[in-house]
Amino acid sequence: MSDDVFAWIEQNDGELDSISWQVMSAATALSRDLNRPLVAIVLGENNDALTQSAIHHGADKVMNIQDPSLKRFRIEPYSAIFTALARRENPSAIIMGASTAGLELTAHLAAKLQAGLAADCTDLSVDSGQIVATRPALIGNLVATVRFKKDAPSIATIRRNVYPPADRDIARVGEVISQPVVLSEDQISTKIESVEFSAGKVSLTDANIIVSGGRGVGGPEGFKPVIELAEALGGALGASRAAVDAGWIPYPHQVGQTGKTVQPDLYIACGISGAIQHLAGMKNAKVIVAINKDGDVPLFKYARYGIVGDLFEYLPALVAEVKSRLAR
Amino acid sequence: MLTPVEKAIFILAVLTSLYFAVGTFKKMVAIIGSGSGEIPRDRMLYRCALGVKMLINQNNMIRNRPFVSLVHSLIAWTFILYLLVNVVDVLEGLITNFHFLGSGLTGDIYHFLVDVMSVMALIGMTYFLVRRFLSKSPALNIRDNIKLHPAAIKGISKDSLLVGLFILGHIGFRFLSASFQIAQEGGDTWQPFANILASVWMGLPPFIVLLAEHIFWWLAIGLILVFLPYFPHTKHAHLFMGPFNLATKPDRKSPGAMDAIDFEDESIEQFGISQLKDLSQTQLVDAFACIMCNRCQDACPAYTTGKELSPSALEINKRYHISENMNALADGKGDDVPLLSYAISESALWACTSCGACVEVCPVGNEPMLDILGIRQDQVLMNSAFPNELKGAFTGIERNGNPWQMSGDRMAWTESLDFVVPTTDDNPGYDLLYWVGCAGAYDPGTQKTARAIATILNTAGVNFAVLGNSETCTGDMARRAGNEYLFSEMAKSNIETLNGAGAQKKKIVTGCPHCFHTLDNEYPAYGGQYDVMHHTQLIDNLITEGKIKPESQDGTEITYHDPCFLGRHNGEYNAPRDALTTHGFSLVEMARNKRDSFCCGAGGAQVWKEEEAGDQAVSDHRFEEAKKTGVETLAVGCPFCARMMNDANARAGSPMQIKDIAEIVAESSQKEKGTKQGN
Repeated sequence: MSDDVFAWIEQNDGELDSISWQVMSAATALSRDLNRPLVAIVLGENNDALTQSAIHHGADKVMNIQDPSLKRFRIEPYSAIFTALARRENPSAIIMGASTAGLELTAHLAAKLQAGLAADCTDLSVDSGQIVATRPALIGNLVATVRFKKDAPSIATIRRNVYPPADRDIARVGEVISQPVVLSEDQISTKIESVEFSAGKVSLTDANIIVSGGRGVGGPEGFKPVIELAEALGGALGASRAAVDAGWIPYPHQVGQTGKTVQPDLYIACGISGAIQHLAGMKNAKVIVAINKDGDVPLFKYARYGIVGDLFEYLPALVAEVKSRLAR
Repeated sequence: MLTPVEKAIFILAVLTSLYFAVGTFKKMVAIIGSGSGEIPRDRMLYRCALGVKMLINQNNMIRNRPFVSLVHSLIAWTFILYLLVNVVDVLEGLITNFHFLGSGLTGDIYHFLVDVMSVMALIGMTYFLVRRFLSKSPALNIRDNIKLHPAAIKGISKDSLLVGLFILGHIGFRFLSASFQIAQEGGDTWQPFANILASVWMGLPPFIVLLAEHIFWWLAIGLILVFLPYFPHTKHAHLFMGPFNLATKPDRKSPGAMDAIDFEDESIEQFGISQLKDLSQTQLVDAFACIMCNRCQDACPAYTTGKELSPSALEINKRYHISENMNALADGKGDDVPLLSYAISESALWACTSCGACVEVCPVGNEPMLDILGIRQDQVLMNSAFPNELKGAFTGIERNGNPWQMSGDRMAWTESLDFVVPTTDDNPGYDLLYWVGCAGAYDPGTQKTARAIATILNTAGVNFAVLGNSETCTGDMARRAGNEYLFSEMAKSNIETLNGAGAQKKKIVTGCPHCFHTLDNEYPAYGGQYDVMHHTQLIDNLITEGKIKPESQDGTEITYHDPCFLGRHNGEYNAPRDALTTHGFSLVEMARNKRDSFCCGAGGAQVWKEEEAGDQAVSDHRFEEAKKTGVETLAVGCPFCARMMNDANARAGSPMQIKDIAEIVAESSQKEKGTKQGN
């Protein structure tokens, strides 16, 4: 019985998912309050840099499972490793990000371990030695407080962008323990043949920043400055139904009632009036910026910042400014 | 006239034909009987009279395709007359010296009528065959992207040819027989057309003329005897199934009012329609009644814009499936083949806008729309298979009480008004409850309409109130999308709210035809009886009563788009038009209007999903029709029509003003008020 706190450092083909340091931040607080070591779990093909980085972000110990079969997330090998680790180490808590992979993996794990699971939490705390999770229910209309049963690990995923990333301290040192894989490649029934990205590298639903264009961009060419800003900010490209209907941009970019529902930190709407079908998909963004020639459009009511003006003047200026600041 | 040998053969032939006919007709009856529910049997006398009336007036189908309908009526009336003619011919054949109506003037008039009608029917039928097989009228074609039962692909032409030739043969042979009879009698000017032919025969040897009369008598009557058992297999069954279907149409408060499902009834194992056996009896009659005229297809917004849906193909596929499996189905060995595998494609299923045009236009009273909505119920309730985009709207209604998942204040639309809109709590003594609807409460565009309605009520001094935050979605969208369970939950909770606020004793006005339709037509099944009006009806009343006095528009031209759920589904065509014309707008109608109006493309939950693949957006098609009027303002009476027309307007980049009638009236009433104050 180790009672350690496990935190998953999520990577995909060597690329870290930014939610991982948010997970570390939540887990650090738990390990402090429970007074138990924080163990980061890293699965991947080549984890040397990540394991060190995990220690710098607060891990006391890192379990490193390194194998070509773990290059990208697949439920079978990942779940097998976590199940074996959890059965052996019996942690008090397993914390992951509420990413697509994290949600699937925790569900799998909870079933295997007969453990309780609180998904998509906005807060984790410790109350008399017991973990208490807070999760919004019914689209934020209610808040559920979840307590876990005691004889199994408490499993939780945290909502993206709720916790700040854990502080980085390169002076920290910790132990890295290598662990073997559980399943060999030929025991895994799913094979990843190839990976294809749709236009715009960043997935809309996972993006922290989204820059969207609407009817106001005027045509397919008008999306150019919108795409440039999205790329400069490392964000995803969105669009209103009007722009998609007009054929200026493909449907996967559509944000709204009949497209994707998104909750980024920053949503920059360019030339979007804010028809209700669009609001339905983005009204829960943390900060909304609206750029529109017409100061009367409904979106300004929902926007924290509004620019009444020509997007073709403002966007290139924004792109230049963002680029120069990032270069510094 | 017949020889004793012929008489004996005739009686034998009749008995054989009847024997087989009884067999197939019994099967048809058994198959219809295997459907759920019952064909209405109340008020039999009224229903019989209704059937006869529809048979004779051809259900007024002349208002669409007038020429073709007229030709059809001539053939149909001839056939009705031939019910008598055939009996007379048989009697005259069997009984020596029997002359129907005698040989006096009445007999002559009878012969004249039969002669003229026969020729008209022959010409009409020839025209129909030419139209189908030579000039290949596009109206009779079903597009390639429509799912057709394998048997229907060739069957449609074969069936039509057989029926056409049967009619041509039966009437033609009878006409020939008559002409040979006239030739023996030395001419009959009362039968002018047959008489012309008879003059040709008069030169022939008498025994040949006599023989020919007999042969053609036999061919005419024989065709009937041969065709009789085959009837239920052909589209010609519409001859009696059409009037039967019209006479036994279930009494619905509105063509689009759906029947409630009792979710408390634990014996129900199948919700909605999956297979043929899940169809109701009247829906099975629909299949036999369909004559494949494709009028529904012409009227269907989904078909018109290139989607995979054709309402007539659905009925045709049902009939061919029944025809192919008639023995098994009649023996109660129902099959387990889903309708989605042969009758309608998945994309077609979700392309329906529930506009009701197919139901409205069908000359034989078919209701393909209700089949489609029933199949959607099966897909949603039994299989959880529905377009992904609908999920958000379902969850929104479930959790937030509105399909946009908005969680804000339902009263936010009132903020910019210069008077207070009272809730039923603030003003329990209200006379009129204004049901704002989710669009009015949340959609920035429709909020303007909501403010216009409230302003009109305020100006007119109406003692009104709204439900405020206790109002939720009526569930219309869920019901049209097949989520009957969610609809029933919404209906029950809204009725509780409404009755709690005493609305059952007051009047209700809605700002949306969909809310109007559900509250007025569909809540009664859940125990909610309300006196409901659409806002255009109220506005029209207030203008007529002089309670609001909009400024005269001096003949400004305007066009009006009928919302399906106000027009076709609820028969209200005049109030919105009157609300415009009474203060001086000059109404320019679109080519399709009132009962023949064309949907905006939003209904049937379409607005909550992406449009199915086709050639064109339904809204663009309708907007083009609006543009063709050449006027600058398009008046609407539904937030969803407004939204679709606005989107189409923006896509077309055309400078049209799209406004709800409430906004138009409020603006011109305000102006007048403003001028008075200025003075």
